[in-house]
Amino acid sequence: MKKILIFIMIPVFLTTVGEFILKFNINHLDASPKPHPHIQHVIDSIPFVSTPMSEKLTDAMMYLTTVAFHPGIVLAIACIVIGGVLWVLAMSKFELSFLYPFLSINYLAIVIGSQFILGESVSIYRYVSIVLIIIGLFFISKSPYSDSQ
Amino acid sequence: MIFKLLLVILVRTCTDISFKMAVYRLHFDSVSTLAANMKKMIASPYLWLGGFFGIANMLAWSFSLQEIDLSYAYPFLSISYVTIILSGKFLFHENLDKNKMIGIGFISLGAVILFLG
Repeated sequence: MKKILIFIMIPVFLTTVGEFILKFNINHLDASPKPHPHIQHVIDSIPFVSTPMSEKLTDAMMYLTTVAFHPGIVLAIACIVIGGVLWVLAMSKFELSFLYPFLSINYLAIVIGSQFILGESVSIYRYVSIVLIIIGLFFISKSPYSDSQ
Repeated sequence: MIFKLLLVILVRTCTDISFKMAVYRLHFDSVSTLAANMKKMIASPYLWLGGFFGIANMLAWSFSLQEIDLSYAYPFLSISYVTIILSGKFLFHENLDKNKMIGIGFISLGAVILFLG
């Protein structure tokens, strides 16, 4: 039983912690990193592209490269992806109705952690909404996972 | 701001549909056909499309977290349960029983309260 709990809690822990690391690092990103002058020059020289359009394009490109090479964000995405794969493994081993309470931990931990670790102002509506989501997940988990069952 | 989250939900739904298409009607439970089915799965363009959507999903997700609270965005994404169950019903003719419908109802209500609150 203890082994089963560890097997299920690892993906729950990884995804929750991954989301916190992701949000923390995004909160502390440089607000508007400027592209390298050479890149800006190439984009500016493309004809028929209006300035605001090219600005948006460089912003998007800058954002993608920033995210793809930011060690904290890469670590966070790795945690979330590995957690997701382990969760699929857990789903192939155990019934969804057994896994459902652990899925609810994700929602609770993320909202509570957002308030107390990331310092977000969390209204009562957000807590009410996760209670409703958890009830909804409870009903979905009671449904058979295959028609052939 | 809400459009970014709706984009994440769309991409996440597309990821799951693609992966389901890749393994649709394949069986991994008997050893004799396992290798052949694995080959079919890896050769399926849907598997690679799913991987592409998966990467796009993480990018869109981190993009929306730039301006949206995690305590808002994460519960909001539970709408993907609704879109995925409905696509299971309409694309793969999966059974939509009473429990799933009640579950969808509660999750939608939760999302509405989140949105209005």
